[in-house]
Amino acid sequence: MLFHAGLALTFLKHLRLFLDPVPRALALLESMDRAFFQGVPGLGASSLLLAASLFILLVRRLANARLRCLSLPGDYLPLLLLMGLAGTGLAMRCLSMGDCTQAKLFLSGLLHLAPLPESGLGPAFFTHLALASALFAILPFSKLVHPFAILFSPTRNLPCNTRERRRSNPWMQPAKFLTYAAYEDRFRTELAQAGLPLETPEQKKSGGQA
Amino acid sequence: MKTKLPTPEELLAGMQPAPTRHWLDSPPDFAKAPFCHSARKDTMAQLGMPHPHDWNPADEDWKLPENWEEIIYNGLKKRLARHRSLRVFLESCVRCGACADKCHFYLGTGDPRNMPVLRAELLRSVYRRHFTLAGRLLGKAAGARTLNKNIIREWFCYAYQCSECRRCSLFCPLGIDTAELTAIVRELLCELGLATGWIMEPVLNCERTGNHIGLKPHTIKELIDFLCDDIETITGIRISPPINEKGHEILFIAPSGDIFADPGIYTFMGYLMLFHELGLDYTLSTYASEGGNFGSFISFETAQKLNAKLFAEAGRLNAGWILGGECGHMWRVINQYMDTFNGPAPKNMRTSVSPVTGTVFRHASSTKMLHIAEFTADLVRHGKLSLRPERNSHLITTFHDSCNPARSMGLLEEPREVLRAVCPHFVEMPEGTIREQTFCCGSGAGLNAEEIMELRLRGGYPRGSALRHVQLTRQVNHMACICALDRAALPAVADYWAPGVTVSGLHELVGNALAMKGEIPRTTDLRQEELPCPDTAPEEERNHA
Repeated sequence: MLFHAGLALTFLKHLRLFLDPVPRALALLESMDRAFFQGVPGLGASSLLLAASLFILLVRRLANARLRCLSLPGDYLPLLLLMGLAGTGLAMRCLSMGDCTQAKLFLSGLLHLAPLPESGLGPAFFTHLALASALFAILPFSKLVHPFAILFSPTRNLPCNTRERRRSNPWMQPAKFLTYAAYEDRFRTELAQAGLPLETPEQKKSGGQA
Repeated sequence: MKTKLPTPEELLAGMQPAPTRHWLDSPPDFAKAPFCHSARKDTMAQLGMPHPHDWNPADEDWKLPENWEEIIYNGLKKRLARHRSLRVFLESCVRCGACADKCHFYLGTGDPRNMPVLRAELLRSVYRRHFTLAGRLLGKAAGARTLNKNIIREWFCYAYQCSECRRCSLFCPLGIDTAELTAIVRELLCELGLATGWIMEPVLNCERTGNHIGLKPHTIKELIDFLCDDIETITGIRISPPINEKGHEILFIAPSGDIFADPGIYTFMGYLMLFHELGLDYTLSTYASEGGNFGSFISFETAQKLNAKLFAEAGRLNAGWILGGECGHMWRVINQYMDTFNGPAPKNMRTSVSPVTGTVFRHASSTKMLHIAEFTADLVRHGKLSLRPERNSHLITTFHDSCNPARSMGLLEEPREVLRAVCPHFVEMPEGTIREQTFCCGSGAGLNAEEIMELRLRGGYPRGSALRHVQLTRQVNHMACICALDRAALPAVADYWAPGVTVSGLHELVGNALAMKGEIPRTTDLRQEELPCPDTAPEEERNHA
């Protein structure tokens, strides 16, 4: 949960690099995010949240024997990519004070397929960009598409009213089962013996004893 | 044949330690695996199951058909096309581990393959290798494995260490229901002719005689007469329940265990006494003498076949609606599948209406089948029952939510309402072990076999611990439940983990408390054990007044 909140906030904050003019709501979000960290340039609650939660997720996967024994490379890769992203992102904001305006110019150049020559964007920025591209590249093939499963999961999107409303099943054939008539034929003597009502009059082969 | 069981301490000490290696690198040890006996060849053949053959799970060679790989591949392909749930559940797991420690079999064995996520990965890994691009290209790095005979053994081993209780699905953020994957694996194994005797024998019985135990009509009549004799001894009232009679308002169907096995029979006596006291217009049936459905542990088609006689009999007997007894998987089938399998209900059927209170049970307006706990809870709510809960006053009872009624139907409040009305002392087990988070008895979904008793006790460990807790802290000495399998399995679990706690069905307690018109003062309960607070004799009562 913490991780998802951190990721969502960070993602929203990145929108300012792509939108012009920056929407009011985004600016408000930004100022709220930084409200508690006035003294530290660049740092925001969302950054801390994201970095800490990623760290916890990785440690949990490595330290818990149960989880370690079932984790696949596909579970670590997105975590490591995101950690790389968060690391370079934090480095830009806190250490080298990456130039937002320059980054925005450069990215909009890329987006309009008319790249501008970069000026003053350090290696941290390009590592960050490369990792982000990698993340989006593996997105459709990796487990990161899992949120969509929630939408398709029958346990999540169907109401439990199966006694109230009938659903038909296209592949189910009508059942072939022991009918009562066959049952009565099989147990005619026993049914008669117990004095239970019979559907059809007694047949000759059963001996006629009631 | 019966081997001596380890003590609880030995059992817990024998728990597997935390895994140190990745599961793909540590093959399971089948030598110690808790295999059920295999189904006999002629049983499978008579049921028309594919590839019937003689085999033994302990052997190296399971005598699979020549083209077994093809059968599995095509079988999985067919089911992927059929079930959206299967596609979603095979794709969507992110191995977050939320389900890992929620399975009673994992908690009881410590075997990592009993973590729901890993149980699912057993199938998922094969699916990845044969049905996804990443699995084909990356192989083990993508968690994929090529199908081999050892995987078939592994499937058999772990699909039959899952009681399909669905507790794990409750904790999965993506809603993955491992029980459905277990069901698919069991279906696939069945296509290779692999099944357990404990499931297939009752299925065959049910197909031939109408019930799992194989009771013929006159035997059913005799057994019910015996129970009525007992009721007469206890209450002085003679009941003769209608059987196979046409034109009654209600067809009553219980799990067949309830007319045959202790302590289910006392629950059945409770049903009969309740119906008699209400003057209910009902009939029993020797043909539809089984509400339970062992077919549901094997395949959809088998479940459908065994379930079909319920609607058919209601149609033949011209019954208005069906009332169902206390059973677990029976109600999973009725609640989730019956209408789709064999519906719509016959034309003569109407939405269930309580003839006593007039309540219309609209939530069952399509299946027209009502759970007896819903029916009785409605009576209690309307104050229609004359009860003497003091007859149950020596019991400090708790309630075990049976997996299927609790998780698949949401039947949580009704049995509690009834229980509070008939028992003066009711105590809940700790949060997280009751209601929809209830723990399984450890023997559900066809695992009630004697030969795997140790596994069943391990599976019952979480339930047993919760029970032990309230036994020690709240002096609980009784546990009520609404499932025939629970009634068969929990006495052993209670004896083992919480000795001194007795187990009964809900309606046994109702039968005990029910004050019947014209009854003699009761001195014993339905088990014919002395009541600590017997009814006072009529003269004494008059004197008191």
